[in-house]
Amino acid sequence: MSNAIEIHGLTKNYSQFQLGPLDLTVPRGAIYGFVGPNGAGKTTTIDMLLGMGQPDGGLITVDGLDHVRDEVAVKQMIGYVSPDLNFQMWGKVGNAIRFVKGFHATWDDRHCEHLLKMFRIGVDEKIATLSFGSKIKLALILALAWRPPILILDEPTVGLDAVARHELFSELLESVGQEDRTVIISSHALADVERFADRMGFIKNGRMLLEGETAELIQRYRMVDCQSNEPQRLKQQPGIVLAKQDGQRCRVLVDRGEDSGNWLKQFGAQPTASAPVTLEELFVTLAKA
Amino acid sequence: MQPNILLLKDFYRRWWWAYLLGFLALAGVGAGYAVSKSHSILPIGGGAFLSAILLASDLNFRTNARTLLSLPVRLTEIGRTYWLICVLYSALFVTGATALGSMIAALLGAKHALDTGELFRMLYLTGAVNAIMLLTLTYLPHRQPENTTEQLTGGFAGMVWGLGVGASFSAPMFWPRSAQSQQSITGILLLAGVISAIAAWHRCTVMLVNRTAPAAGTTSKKASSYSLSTGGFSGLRWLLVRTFGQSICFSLLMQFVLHLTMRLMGAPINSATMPTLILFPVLFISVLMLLPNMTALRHLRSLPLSAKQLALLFLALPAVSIMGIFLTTPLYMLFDREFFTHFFKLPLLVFGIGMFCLFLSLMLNIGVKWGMIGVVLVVPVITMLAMLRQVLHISWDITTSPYTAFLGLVLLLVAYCWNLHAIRSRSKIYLPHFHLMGRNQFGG
Repeated sequence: MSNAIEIHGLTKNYSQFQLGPLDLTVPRGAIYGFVGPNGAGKTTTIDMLLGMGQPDGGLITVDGLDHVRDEVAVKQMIGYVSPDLNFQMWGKVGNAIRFVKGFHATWDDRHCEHLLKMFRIGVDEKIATLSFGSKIKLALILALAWRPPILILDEPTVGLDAVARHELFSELLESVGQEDRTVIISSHALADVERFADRMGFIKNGRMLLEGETAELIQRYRMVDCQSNEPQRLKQQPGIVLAKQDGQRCRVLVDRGEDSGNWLKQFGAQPTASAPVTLEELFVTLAKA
Repeated sequence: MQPNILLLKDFYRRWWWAYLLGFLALAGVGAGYAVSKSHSILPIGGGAFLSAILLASDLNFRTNARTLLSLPVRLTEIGRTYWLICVLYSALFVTGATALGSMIAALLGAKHALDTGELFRMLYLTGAVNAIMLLTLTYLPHRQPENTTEQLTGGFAGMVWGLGVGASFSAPMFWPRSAQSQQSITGILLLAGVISAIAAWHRCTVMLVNRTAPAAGTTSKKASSYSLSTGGFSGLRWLLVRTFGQSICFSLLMQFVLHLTMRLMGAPINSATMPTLILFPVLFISVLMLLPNMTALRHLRSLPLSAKQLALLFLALPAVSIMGIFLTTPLYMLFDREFFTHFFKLPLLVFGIGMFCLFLSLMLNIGVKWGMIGVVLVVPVITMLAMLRQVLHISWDITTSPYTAFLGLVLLLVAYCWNLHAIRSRSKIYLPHFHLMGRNQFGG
């Protein structure tokens, strides 16, 4: 399967933050969960991809096209949703639709009307008076109505209630299933990402910590309760992250891919319990480490 | 009435730079008066910029009003502290700064320092204008109107606000010459000011409470239409046509009001006042047309437009909106040839477009604050230059000179290159500075 998006060695330096070097690969047709704590660099990465700022180094390609040299062709493939998009200048919902549809030859009025009905947004409504959640829904409508081959959703569920979130993911799954569409979803709603993303990348402090198939990543890690005389030395070992410590008793996140079982034994740790992890546990433990 | 000291400190700490610039400009005007003894430069409406307009900028962020209301301070205390800032302190500041400039110029040998009577007149007229603007601010629409009364009140307040902001720039230029006209205008302003001051005293709490109300049209709205209209323009063509149409409407209204005001006041239309008269609609309409586009930069950049196309769009939009002014102007020739003759200065229009585009570039490259400062400062500077030309008997007319148009074209080119640089490499400009929520709340 060829890749929809490839990022190699991306760097961007700010005075208080450095992104990268970052590598990221999104296969065509995948739903890719891009997760990480606040300020990790998720939005910065997406911004660089869309030309909102110039990377200091690295290469970004979308469907084999360079994101700078072929920026128009790249953006003709990408539907983008973010709570930071501001449509207020268009006045009414219908105006925003009229403006955006002019840029996309594949715009589908019927599909747009279906989405408007589904999200209960009227064309004659004033954008300024829409609730925050409704503004996100409008961004989704504008991105989905032309059936882009690649969808980038930056925190799309912020401000959405449970029903709207369910509708959003149903729509996403349906569209991905029907049309070989690639979706990148950067979200804090980890339960949703775990359910829908078939691949994910975990970014922290501008670096990619983990990347792979969601199911594989979850299977690869286990939460182990153990007793150890040297818990501080334990956490310095590759593949072991100390999640919690209470005297000699500690809970560690163990990467089964590394030789962590042996490390545990080597430091005299006696496992007392072992359980699979959820994406949320994995996320929180790695983010705190 | 005691103002809340913490709120006062907070307001002045955040807007010190505006007051500093205001002080310099007003002191300059005071010095200019001491040299020329021209009433037409006295900044009667300028106080609104340091009061109601700054306050409106504060309150435009819905969260500011919410933060204020959550403080352990009585609502009336908050409202009336802002009343004092807007009506009284700002008038005192304007008068004081102008008087100081005039005094310094007099010490340095100028002949006409402002006397006590003139200062007092400036104080109460500035206070009156400030009060009218503050009262208007309390009626400005902050959500979708629910009935016709709200719609009419909001629409009327919006119109008065727009004209008030405009008059703050240009009204002193057209202050009538005859004593009788001056007395009538002063009387009307004073009466309106006193009524507004009393009404605003009672309404300034409502202004805060209203701004914390949620936007209408959320979940419990009535059924809307989901059918899309087909046909007509879309995309960039739609945006340009819409901008053009809006600029024609604004221009018709603004030129009508300017024309009417000048005729009623018996104000002079000459080469000294015309630069302001021409540049003001250019700047005002362009600001109205273009600032909202800047808030949508993130959206515009995500569309299939190259950086070059986007940079060009930011030249095309002011050009199109100024074409609206250009095309509506001949309508006035039908009944006022003199007005038309003075207004229709193509070189100055080209310069205006170039200048405004450069302001946009300034905003994109070094920040909105500095761009706005440029807009606010350039009109008085050009006006001063035009007046100096008259005083010094220089025959070169900047409104008709081809050099003015050439300079405008150079400014356009510089603006394009600078826009392109910002669009490509300044990631800051895509942050949501203007709209309702901050990125930091949600991460990334």
